[in-house]
Amino acid sequence: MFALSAQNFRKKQTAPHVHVGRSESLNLVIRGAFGRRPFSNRLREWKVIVPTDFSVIRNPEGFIDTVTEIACMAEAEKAQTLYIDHSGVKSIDLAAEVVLDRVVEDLISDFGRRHKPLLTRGKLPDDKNIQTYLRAIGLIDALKIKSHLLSDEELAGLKVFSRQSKAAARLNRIDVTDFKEAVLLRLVDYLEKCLAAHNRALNAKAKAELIEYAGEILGNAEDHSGMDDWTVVGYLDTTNEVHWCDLAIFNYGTTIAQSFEALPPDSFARKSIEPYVEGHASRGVIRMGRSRSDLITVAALQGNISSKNRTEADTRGRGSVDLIEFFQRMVDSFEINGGAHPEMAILSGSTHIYFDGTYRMKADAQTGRSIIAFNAENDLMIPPDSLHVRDLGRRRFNGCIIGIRFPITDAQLVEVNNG
Amino acid sequence: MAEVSSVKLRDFGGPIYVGRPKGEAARKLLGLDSLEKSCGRISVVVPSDAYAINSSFLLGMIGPAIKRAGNRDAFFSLYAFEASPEQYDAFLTAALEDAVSHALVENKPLPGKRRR
Repeated sequence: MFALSAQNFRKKQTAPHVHVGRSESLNLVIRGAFGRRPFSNRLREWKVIVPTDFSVIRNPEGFIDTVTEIACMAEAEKAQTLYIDHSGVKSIDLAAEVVLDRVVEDLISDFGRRHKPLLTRGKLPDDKNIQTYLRAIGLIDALKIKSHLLSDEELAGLKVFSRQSKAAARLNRIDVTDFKEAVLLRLVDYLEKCLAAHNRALNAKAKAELIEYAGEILGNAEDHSGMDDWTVVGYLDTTNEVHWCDLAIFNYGTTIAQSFEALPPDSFARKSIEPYVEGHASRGVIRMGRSRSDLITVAALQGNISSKNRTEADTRGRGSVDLIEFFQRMVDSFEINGGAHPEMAILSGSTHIYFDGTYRMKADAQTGRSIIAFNAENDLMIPPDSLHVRDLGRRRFNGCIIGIRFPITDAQLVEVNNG
Repeated sequence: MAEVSSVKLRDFGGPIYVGRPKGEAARKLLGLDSLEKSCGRISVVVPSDAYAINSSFLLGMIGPAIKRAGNRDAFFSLYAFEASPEQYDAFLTAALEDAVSHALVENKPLPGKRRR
């Protein structure tokens, strides 16, 4: 049976169903499909076709549609088989695939919790490189497709780094490395092992920058999401002359905009962003297809802006600056020759922000604040460019995903002798 | 002569120091609030095996001191960081510069329209 994605849903104005006992993460993904319910509860096979460009960075709509479709199988009474068809995929990013992987795991757990049978099947992409990528990431493992598992020799050649936060791992003592730091150390260790195979290693500066960047994102995920549920995944492709590194960090829970919207209107943090948001709202930016959440998310990226700033004396709001400046260094260090180039995206709620080096964070000449306005003038009084700051409408991811793809160039490496 | 006090980052794990909560906890445990008032100089000893400190950790630990100092010179006359030249080059110079410049920005609202 070939069931197109559109046949699994019909548009209906119904509130999303929250199943008591189901994991919060699965519920949050299901809520991202608000307004769309399964067409028929009689389907036994739940077939999901992954789009040609399966990417958080470049195709957030296709990504959200795919993962919410998978999650909604939990609502289908008769469905017993999950079939994920990757055969048409031509391009993919780590962030999209690891979230899909996580949703599948949550679904399998949910069926297990309800003692319902669930068979998992899938079709791999025709593209061999993407096939290898999927095998390395783990979807094949998650679906338990034994016939496609890699041989020991093949597994040894593929390396993916993945760590998930665990509430139980929180340490009360601060004289030992906490879980977040332990994860970052292992991330660096993973990259070093990948590079060691080519007699290379990250130089001291590159190692420090990577830890600082990833540490800021994990810190934000811990501080703002409201849930201790973040995942960091990394993949270093050393098969080509340019070593491309994919990093994906995602957490479920409060979106960037929600962390501000939950504050009282007279709070310091809300008053910090309100002139920007209201200014554009009053000029009709929201009527032109932008949402308040988009504007709040852009505001949240500016230097010294944080939902946790309570007074003028507070010094939060540095994390997003470090994140963006790290990306800018990657763009600067890589000559774009018409091929692949560094990219990054932030997807939170219905807001998608795309970074490709077009707009840069710069210190404002008068205030010293780091500003990225997503327009040519880098002026916050001018609305952000709608191609780089997009409202996804009814589609949403309840949490925050940051995906980045950047090259590790010779400038960041040193030669090592592994002989 | 004003007292010089030395604090060791090694007491707080390592070899990387990331995250504001850890910086704030270090500040509290070290009693930096009162040290800053009583000492003429505070020396922060960076362990020789440390290879990353992010600005959020520093802001948690010394952010209030930077704000209170009001300018770069006043802050660095109070705080000194003992580290190797290689560590300064690899991460410390940038992290300190980022933390200091960030903390010295006046925390005013973003530009736009104000509510009446």
